[in-house]
Amino acid sequence: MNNKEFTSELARKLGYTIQDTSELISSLLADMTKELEDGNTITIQGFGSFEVRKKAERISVNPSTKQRMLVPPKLVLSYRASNILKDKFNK
Amino acid sequence: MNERLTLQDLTDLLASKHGITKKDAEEFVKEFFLLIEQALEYDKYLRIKGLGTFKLIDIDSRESINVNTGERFLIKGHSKVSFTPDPNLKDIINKPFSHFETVILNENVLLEEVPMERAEEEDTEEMPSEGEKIAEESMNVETAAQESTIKNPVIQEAMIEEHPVEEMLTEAPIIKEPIDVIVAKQETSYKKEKSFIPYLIATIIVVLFLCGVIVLFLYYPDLLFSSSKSKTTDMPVTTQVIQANEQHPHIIDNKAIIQQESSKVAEETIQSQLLVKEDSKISTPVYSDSEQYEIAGTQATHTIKEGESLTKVSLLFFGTKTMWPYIVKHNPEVIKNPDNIPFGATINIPKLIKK
Repeated sequence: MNNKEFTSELARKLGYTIQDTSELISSLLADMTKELEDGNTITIQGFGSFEVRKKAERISVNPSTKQRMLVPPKLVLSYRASNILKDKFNK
Repeated sequence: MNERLTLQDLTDLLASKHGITKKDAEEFVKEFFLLIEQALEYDKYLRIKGLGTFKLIDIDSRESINVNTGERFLIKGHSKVSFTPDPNLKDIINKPFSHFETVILNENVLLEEVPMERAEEEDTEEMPSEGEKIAEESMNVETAAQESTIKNPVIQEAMIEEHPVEEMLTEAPIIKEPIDVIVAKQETSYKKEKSFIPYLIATIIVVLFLCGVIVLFLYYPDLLFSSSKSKTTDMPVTTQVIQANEQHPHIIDNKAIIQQESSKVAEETIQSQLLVKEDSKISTPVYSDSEQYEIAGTQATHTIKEGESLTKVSLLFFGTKTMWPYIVKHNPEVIKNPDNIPFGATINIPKLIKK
């Protein structure tokens, strides 16, 4: 399902206009992004959690050229599914 | 930083932004995530612009071994939820580290940190999905400079799941040789002045040692100078000298006084008492500097040997160097110049009684 479908489905469920829901969605995502930027974790009961994690730097080798390079450290967004969700999908 | 936010927090933020009621906001957020769930279940794939892509990935059953018992068991086939953030979001989150770039290493390496990656089932790894094949190693940056071997990573561990090609964990045959290298970056960023501190410590120790030596010589000047000098070098503290002088101003030679006062001050009757214990053969009564004594005849005679000074003689007979003025007084013919005693001369040692 792509973005458009998702938005329209959500609008339908809630009874808002598509425009409104897309506005709300972007607003919600902006809030989430801001929080994640600050390094906070977002936990949604029954869904899972979004966390910012640090990846250490490392040496990696290009196997074809055998060239070694240093990959710098970075921050990545990670999602962990909640157990409820996992069970649901594994039924 | 490091706060844990909940659905309620998102609700509040949304409500304040849009002016809708909290109830509505809550409903919206709940429905939002619920829909994600449903869409995922339905389509096994969902992309939200500005967030990322959710996928439902099926994993086949596989055999595995119980690590403790060694018995084989079956990991059943199941589904797992994977999430890949959108590139924009990735960049926003990585802003603090955005200025870093991956650099090519050129053999400028001695000792290096080599990572060992453990891929967990639950973790969704985000790897550059450009079909780049890279060796997977995880590193511990804080404990730099450790040797280790790159082992064949994750593929061989039974934990890794299959993934579609575009995503992740394509392992390449890894070189097994041990790598001993220094990370160039680590050299620059973790540079410490390692060779500086031992030198500093050594310098401090040397200084302390010198101070100790100086103190030692202050207290034990005898150690420094050999003793064929006149009594003036062995003078006690000036105060004591002055006292002795006060007691017999009319007796003592003026020259001697001046010389005494101008002499270097080495101190302690304590010291001389200590020495007395070593040197004196006779058990002598203790003579104090602050007492006045009267000469009452001769108790003994003594021949001056080479290298002997009046203070030594005094020490020998009275247990303290400070009684030499009495010896001088008692032997006016022999001792004309207290500084210069003729060798081999015989002098009378006075008997001293407290006044």
